[in-house]
Amino acid sequence: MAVTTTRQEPPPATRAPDTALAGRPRRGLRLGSATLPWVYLLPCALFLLAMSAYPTAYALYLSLTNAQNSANGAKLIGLANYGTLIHDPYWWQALQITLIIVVFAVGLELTLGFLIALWLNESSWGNGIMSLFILPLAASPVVVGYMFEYLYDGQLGLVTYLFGQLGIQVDLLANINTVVPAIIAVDVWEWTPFALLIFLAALKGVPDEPLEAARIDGASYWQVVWHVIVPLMRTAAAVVLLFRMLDVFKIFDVIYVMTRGGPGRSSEALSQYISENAFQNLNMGYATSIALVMLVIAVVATRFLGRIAIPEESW
Amino acid sequence: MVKWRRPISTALLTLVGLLYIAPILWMILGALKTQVQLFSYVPELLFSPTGDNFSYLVRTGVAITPYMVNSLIVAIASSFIAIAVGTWTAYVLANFRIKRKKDFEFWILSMRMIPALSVVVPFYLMATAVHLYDSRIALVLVYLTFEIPLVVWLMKGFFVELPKEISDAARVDGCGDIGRFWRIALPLVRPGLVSALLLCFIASWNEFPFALYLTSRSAVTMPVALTGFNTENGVLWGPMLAAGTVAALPVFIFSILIRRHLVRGLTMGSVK
Repeated sequence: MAVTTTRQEPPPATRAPDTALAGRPRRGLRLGSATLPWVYLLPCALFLLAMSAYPTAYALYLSLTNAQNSANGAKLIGLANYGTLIHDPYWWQALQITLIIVVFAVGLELTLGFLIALWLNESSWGNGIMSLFILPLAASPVVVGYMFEYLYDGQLGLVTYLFGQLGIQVDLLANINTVVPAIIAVDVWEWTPFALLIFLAALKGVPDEPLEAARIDGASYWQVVWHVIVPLMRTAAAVVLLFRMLDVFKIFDVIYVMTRGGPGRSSEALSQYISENAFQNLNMGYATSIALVMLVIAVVATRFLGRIAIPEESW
Repeated sequence: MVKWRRPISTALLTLVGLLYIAPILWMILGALKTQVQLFSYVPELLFSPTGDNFSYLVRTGVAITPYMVNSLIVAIASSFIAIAVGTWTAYVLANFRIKRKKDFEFWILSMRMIPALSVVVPFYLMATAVHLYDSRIALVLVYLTFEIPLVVWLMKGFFVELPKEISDAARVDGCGDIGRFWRIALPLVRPGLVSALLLCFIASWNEFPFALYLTSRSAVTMPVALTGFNTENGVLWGPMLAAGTVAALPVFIFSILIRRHLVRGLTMGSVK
């Protein structure tokens, strides 16, 4: 299979200098073979630690204060921010909107990505056509946001015009019922190619024999797809789920560009709600408490999905 | 996979592909339209293109040039530092037995998953405290937190695939750890290195939330500058679409160049 299940830990014998080359004089610093690699990792580890542990600890402190637009003069108020959060209807609404976008966007990306991959896999020109599908992945989400705002715009939007031709007068981004689906559509457009690429890699690794066997047994195309191919896509699907769920969970750019959470709060996802509290309401203490809850959800989800998506032996 | 189903017309698939990137083409067409053409009730497909929107960007000078320069400097600086730190780390992870290595690798992976908005407030306050707010240095430092993990995971895959015999032979000949990395392994993973570099560049070039909240004037990057075309009197569509086109073209080219390794990069090396 193309999805990496093959990466293996190097066999210890060829790795550890002590066993491989017993008795040879070692060069350089004399450090135990257990500590030396850690010394090698230090520059990276120290930098990332400084850039993650410190901000997290700082955030933890901030979330226990009533900090406004700076940490100066902030007073410790205990867990009050978290108490507010539990009873904050806007927070619950933001969480709900975020989860709706996650479920529908990722679900559609999985399905469409798989179907297009099936199709592309059988095409002889697959590689050339792939170049087209790659473009959305490389574009900045900000550019994509404006690209779609231009399509959705109530006055000059092409999509608005096409809907108008069908007799439907609608301004997608100004209507509380259509704004979330419109945002989901943008994410699906931009990221279906991601699922497509991963499924395509997995499909290249599907062996011919079971397909042949199923065909000889008289199975229809879709029966083969459903009963033979789909089960083989489990690892690929897990990778898509891991990366897309976490990325959509933090969705910000497209919403900031197109609606800033509006109209009203109808498209306000968690990231947008944090930025509103921190930089508009200048309530950084409260914003940080929301941020930390979001961080915990993301880390737990990474842990959980990561174990499924990335096979043990490739760690 | 056996082509046992009736072959589906490749032409049809190409059509689907072109329809798929229609929003991009529509943006580029829009960038070539005049204000009147942009606002015509029936969208115009055939029109005489104008370069006005692009010359507006150049003419007004401040419109995008300094932001492009900021984006370029931040993207190049952060990509090269990420490569320097990340490649070596990846090599060590791929070649040494290390206690608690999996925990370390998972920790690095989880850095990639951290929502920007969940750490932007502490970063903002820290940057202000050390007078790095609105500086390119602050952006480079913050971008390294997601670029280094990307390089580590991507390059580790390439190093693991190298045949062990080469490295072992070099060791027998008295080549040290750093020598084997620099003279033996690195030249062999050059294609991976280029992909990692371009992926870092794309990630940095496109990054938005940190740039939005850690800069205000002098270090503003392209994506943030784009929001400037969204004025109180509505969006300046012509210049906006032109600037969007300019911002997107380099990364489009890069993404096609590294097509072969794109999946690997986007999934931190968990899919080849």
